[in-house]
Amino acid sequence: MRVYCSPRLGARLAAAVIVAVLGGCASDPVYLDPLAGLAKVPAASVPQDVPVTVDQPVALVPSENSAKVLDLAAEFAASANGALVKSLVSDKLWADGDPQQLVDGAVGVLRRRYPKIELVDDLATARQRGFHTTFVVDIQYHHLVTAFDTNHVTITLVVMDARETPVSRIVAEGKSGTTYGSMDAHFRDAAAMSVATLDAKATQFLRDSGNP
Amino acid sequence: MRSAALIGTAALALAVAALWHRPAQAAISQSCADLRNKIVAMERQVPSGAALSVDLAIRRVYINDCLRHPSDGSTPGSAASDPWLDANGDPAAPPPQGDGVYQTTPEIAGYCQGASDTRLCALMLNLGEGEMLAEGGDPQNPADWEKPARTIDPADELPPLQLSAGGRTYAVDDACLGGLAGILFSSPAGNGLRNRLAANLATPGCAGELGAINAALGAFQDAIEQWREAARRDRTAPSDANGRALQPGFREMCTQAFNNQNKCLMRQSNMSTAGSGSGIGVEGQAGAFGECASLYGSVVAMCKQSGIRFPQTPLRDALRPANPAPSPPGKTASGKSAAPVAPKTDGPAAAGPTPKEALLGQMPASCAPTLQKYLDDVGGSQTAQQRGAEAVDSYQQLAASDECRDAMKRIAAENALDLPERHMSQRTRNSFAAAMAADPARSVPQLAPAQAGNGDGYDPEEVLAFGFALLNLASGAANLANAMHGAALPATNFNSLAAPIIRSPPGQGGPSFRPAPPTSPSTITGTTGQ
Repeated sequence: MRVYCSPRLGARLAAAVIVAVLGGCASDPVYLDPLAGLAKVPAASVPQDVPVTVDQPVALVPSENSAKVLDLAAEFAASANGALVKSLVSDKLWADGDPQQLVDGAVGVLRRRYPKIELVDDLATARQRGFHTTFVVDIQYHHLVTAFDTNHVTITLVVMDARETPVSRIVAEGKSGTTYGSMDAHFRDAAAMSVATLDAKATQFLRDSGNP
Repeated sequence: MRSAALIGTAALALAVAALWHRPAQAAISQSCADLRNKIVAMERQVPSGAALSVDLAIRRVYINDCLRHPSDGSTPGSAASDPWLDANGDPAAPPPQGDGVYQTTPEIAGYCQGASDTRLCALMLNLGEGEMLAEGGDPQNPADWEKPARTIDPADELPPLQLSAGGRTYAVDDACLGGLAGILFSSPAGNGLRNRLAANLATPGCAGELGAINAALGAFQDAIEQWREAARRDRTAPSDANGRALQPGFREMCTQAFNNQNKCLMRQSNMSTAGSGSGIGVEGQAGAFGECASLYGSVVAMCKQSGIRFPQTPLRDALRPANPAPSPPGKTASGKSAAPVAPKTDGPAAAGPTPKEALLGQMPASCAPTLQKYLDDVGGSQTAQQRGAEAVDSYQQLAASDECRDAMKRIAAENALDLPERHMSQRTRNSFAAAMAADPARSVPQLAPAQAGNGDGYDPEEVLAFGFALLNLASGAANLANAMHGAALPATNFNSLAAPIIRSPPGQGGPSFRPAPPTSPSTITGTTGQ
């Protein structure tokens, strides 16, 4: 990963606007379609926020974007800039930008409804193993890089039927900001908002078929 | 606020010490050193100039990402030869014996001597987060400001590219590769590479290297093609008893390139079915996979020129414009033993084309018809888009059977091929597995009780005023020059996108205007600004 830092970071640091570096000076990953590499249709063609009946057993497949955000965070943590930032902030603030909280939140929303949900590699595997419903979990986010920027999180659940045909797309977003001079980017607020929205939409749109 | 600033400054000093209070590291990272060694090895193994476009592209990656703009933290000041300085910015002996606490380049060290915080100044310039005013330059003239360049250790540079043809050898170093590209790859319609050539020929160092090539080529009307043909025919004697084509590292690279090319082709084929047009998708994601296939295809072509042979995979057949006639159905599917008898191969160099009959013979009898249908779909007479869709469907039928899928896995492994299936990375698997193992009731992040950031006590109008002041201070723009002279890709200018640059003279520190200090406790220190 190439880390691009704003040319103004020096001035910001001099003015103790440390929040800038909490963003990792990192460019956002180039996000793909949530179904890239998984299905032949783009996610945008799937009806958004429509009620769907969920037959169990249920599988979970992470999207390419979900892998990307984890890779990006891991690479930044291992970089020189990451070491610098980590030395500047508390463990709590360092953990604030960890995308694992998004994974935990999104998976938690599903596990509370489908405790026996299983993690599988891809849709072909899910179909082969006989899962009746598969959720593709797509996570995308932008971490603010200045005090005047906005954290933005989007969690998308694409619901696939037993033939691995997408039938519904549930999109949950979260946003948050911070204030000038603060070292706290408040990314967790955007994360919490997106997970809470996902939870509410899951309650609204995912209907149980009654099969255990 | 002052407390936060003091803590921030102290933390920065500690960070500087932490980052630079370590033994002097190699000038380039291990991965870059590996890449350099692979380039050198590749150039020894491949017939000189036979894969020049690939070679130039790979050299450009090395120069760009390992020498000029390393992305691995090997910033200016990280070379072993960079001087150490003490806390006052004076030359010092390296730690642990000496008083040195950080490293930077001599240029940055001299520039930062007038700064109020020499370490912070050097840190920011090392990280590329500032620009230096040229000696005697006008601070108001953007052209007089420049980013400090990382000191490149000559030992890290690639050896000059050796081009041999017709009994002569030409050496071209990296600074002149742009001119070389101008000679070899420019077209009459475009002047970009020609301009690079002209610029390089005007440089004394390059004129000597390129002039001879240019003059030699200028003697022939079709000199470029002749030279390239000569290079293609050039079969330099192997450097060892086994021969270059049989060296494991080179064969492994070729195998990876071949597999990746097919993977990209497959994905491009999958993507094409999403659109309504005909043929393979060339835009968006499908286009990206096409570019991926093309890149790896150029490497595969280079390998083929070096004598490496690859199996003809069904997908590659499918994506060919000409439609190869499929074998009669049933000819080989019936009567074959269910017991798989896989001929052992020795990798791509020894595999050769894989006959359809042999493939079918390796499958259990119950799977042979499905595989036959898959191969027929791949080689069908429809458009590539239709063939791709049908091939995916029939492959999915094949993969739906555990027995057939296992057989395909075995065949793929024996032929050093990857199945056209997705595999989760270990990092993703670990992350999601952790989430699956966590208590779902406690996995929801808690929303902040109040609106984020309300506790810092800033006046929004002052914040906006400060932002506008920053904007007024800004001048110029970020330029990301194409670091490689004569690269085939056009130079990129982000003037229209990048935020203006703030250039603070040394010692000035931050902007003079600061917002009023907060009256509420800091979210970090718990203290109130003074």
